[in-house]
Amino acid sequence: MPIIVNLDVMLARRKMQLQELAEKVDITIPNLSILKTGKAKAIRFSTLEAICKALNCQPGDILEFVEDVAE
Amino acid sequence: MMKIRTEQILTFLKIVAWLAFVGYAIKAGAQTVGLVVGVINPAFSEKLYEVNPLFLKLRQYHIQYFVNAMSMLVFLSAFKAHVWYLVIQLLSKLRLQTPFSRDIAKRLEKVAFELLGIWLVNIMGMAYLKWLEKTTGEQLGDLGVGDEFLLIAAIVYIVSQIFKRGVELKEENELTV
Repeated sequence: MPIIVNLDVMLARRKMQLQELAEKVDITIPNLSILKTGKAKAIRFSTLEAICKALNCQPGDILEFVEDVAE
Repeated sequence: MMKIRTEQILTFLKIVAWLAFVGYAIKAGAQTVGLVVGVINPAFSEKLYEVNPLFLKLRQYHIQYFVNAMSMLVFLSAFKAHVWYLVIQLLSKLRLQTPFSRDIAKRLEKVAFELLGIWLVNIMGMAYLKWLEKTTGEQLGDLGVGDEFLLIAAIVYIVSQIFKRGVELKEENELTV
């Protein structure tokens, strides 16, 4: 999928563990892992808002569009 | 209340599917025996169950006519038995709590294609029987399969496609964070 999730990069920048983020945004770790590994098919605005608030960043810092080479 | 009723209907359908499967399997077996005995000893095969007496008349013209006509009957019965077997598998794998799975959608599609296959074999068989009637002058009847098989195949295929979409939606829903 051409949408890349840079959650791990943001977590590293903020020096935050996945578990800590999960507690802050009230999402289970397996669900956050789905998002982090790029397996997610969609993300709710409420989830994005909570993550941005917890990491003090913009949606663009977490999501990135990279054109698929195969297409 | 509604759920219990649905479960009861599905259990009843499963029993019906088993009975139909066994019935058609026995029919296919009996027809195979009739075919073999009809080739070896036609006089005895008249007494056998599931040997079409109209088809036996074909033997006096050419043994190949009889073999071909009986083979089609065997083939159709075996096909129907397999469809019922697929229905049994479908009903066994179906979980009302989580009905949308790739496996169920795949099996539904398979049932649709097999039903279409039965209808196509019947079309070819009927054309062959008509040709035999013309050639021999005997009245041979039909193969016991109607156009409703095409209708059922179409309906099952549509349901399988809706099911497929349902599976996609379910997977998408599961992967929404």
